[in-house]
Amino acid sequence: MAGRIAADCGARVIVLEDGDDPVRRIAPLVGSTSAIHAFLGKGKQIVSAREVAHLRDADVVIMDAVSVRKLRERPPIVAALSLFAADSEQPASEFTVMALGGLLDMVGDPARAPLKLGGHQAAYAAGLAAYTGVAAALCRPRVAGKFPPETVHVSMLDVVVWLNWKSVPSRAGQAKLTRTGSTAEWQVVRCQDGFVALVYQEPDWTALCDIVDDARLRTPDLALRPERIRRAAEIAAIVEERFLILTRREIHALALARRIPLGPIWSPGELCADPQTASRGFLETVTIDGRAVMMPRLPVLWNGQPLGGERAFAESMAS
Amino acid sequence: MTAPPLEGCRVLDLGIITAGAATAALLADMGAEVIKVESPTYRDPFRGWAGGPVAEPGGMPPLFRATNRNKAAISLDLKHQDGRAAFLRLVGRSDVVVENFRRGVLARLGLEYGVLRGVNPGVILASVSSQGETGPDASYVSFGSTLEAVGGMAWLTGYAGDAPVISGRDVNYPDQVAAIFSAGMIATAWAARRNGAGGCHLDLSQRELTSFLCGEAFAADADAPRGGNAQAPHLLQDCFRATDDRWIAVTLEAGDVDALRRLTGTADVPQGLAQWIAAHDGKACVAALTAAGIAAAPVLDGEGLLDHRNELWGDALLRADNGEFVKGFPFRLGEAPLRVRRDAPCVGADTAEVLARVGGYSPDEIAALVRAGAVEVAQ
Repeated sequence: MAGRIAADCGARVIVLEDGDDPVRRIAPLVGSTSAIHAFLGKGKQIVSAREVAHLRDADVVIMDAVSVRKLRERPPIVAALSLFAADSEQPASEFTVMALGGLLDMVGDPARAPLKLGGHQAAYAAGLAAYTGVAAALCRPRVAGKFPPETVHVSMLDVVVWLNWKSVPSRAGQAKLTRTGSTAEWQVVRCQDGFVALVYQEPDWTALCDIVDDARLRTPDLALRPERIRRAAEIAAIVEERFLILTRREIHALALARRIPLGPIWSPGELCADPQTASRGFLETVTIDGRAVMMPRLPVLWNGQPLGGERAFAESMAS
Repeated sequence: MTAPPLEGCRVLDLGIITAGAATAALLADMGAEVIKVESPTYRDPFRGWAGGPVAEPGGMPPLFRATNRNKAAISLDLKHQDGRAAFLRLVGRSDVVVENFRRGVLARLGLEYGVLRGVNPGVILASVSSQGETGPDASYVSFGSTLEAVGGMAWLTGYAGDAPVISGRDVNYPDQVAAIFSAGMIATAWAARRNGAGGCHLDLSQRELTSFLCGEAFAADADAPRGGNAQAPHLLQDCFRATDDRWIAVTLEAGDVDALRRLTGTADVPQGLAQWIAAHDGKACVAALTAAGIAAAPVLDGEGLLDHRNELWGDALLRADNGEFVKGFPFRLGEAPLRVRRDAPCVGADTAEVLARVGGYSPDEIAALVRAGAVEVAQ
């Protein structure tokens, strides 16, 4: 992820691939190509790990922390990635790191198993952190043609704890937070053609009542947030009753008009035809194994222009 | 000691709540001089955010404190012509402006990118918005979990065969990652400017970032059904409840099956593994599974994860002088360690100092601005 962003930002990114990268086999597959490998590999040149001469000439290397220590010659800027901040022999995965970082505990229903967020959020967020650290290190002016040395240490567990900072009691005795499922203030409700995230804040309550237009919501006791929190499941049921006769598009239009943060839940496939996505050219058509598929560009427009692009992608797939 | 990487970069921070304010906080952590700009009539809502930990009387609200450390604070009325003029003078002497207002607010204040560029062609305006600067949904408002919904992530999150799930108010996942990514893009733009690229307007859509973070799902032939905790390429991945009611997270690879059989007497997954864990104490389960080379860990809550501080994780949270835990850093820099140099400021704590040092205003001019209601100084 860190290298992918760097490539989109114009860096020449070379992957030193050691044998058969297991990421190449991770589903979903497009033809015989892993969508994850294609997505993360966009804009990169892939060479054999034996071509270590590339390391000597690089400004930055992004690699696992153990391998960093074995480097005989290191580029000035190193991003050293690990699962934990300290050396640990403990077998671990991205999933068990999310368990240790408290993130699993925060998602899902309290009566059911803790739940991970979709995709590879811990790994990708660690990639964002690595990129940001590297980008900062690249801000220092070069001295005699070289960047001043810097090591960016990224521990996935630290990233998860940082993302989940609100769950940690700032001082002893404070109420603990955990997943609240169907009793959460914000939750997912059904509508005519799918689901909507019922997200609102204090100032949105009146507008939400107007949209739902149900006298049960307008009772004076529900005007106070503590009571709304206590009766969150009841409120969600009332809202759902109304939303079941509305489509996501209709709810989207109402939320846009009343400026409240309701979230119609779109699938990735549906987003490929979404007007907002299309108007900003967020999804690019790329060719993998001879098939045209959609992939997100880097989520920034720089003076109105996207970074990266199909040309860089084609180069990486050919390498 | 090596200087922090963003030393010399001055940032005017119009950011509020999490996404904008936390972006600027990361820039401050990395050495930028960050000046938080509030108004006599508009505070960062995080100062009074309900639902999080409550500040002691007279104390700094913990949620605000976490996202505003290492910053100075000024208070200017941007709707007052003299307050706006003071802001533009500061823009002329700054490198970056960060904002995450609702779309249209900056333009209504007469402070859109063209105006800022007019007083400082090199300025970098980072607009961290919900949906992006343009498009039919540009004015759609959101909090983090809205973005999980409209960005495709909620569709991918949930128990197998069941409804989508969001991270909710206490995590608001997209707001957290937006700060890391936006800080990285601003650093990139500042480095590019040093290399002659000039100023720029960064249009950072949190919805697009949320989609980007599950980017591979867009390339798939069809929308995958929600699979709970299962994930390719693992043979099995889920949480199982131990006899002491602890949830144990396990990731099992195909190559772990023999080790699992030796440990539990069965290679039947998930039922056999679930039964074995259900018959054992959680701590013993994790010890036995990891000793067998299988990735396993207890599912910890916000209190439990503190037990592993300085053991498995380090600087993600820090202990303040008063003993409270405060938000730390998502990465470490070996040559210029990140640190909290200053607690979050009260409203207008540095108005007079910043207007004098950066803006070049005399004490009499500042006093006149205060009398006119254009600026506010801390009492």
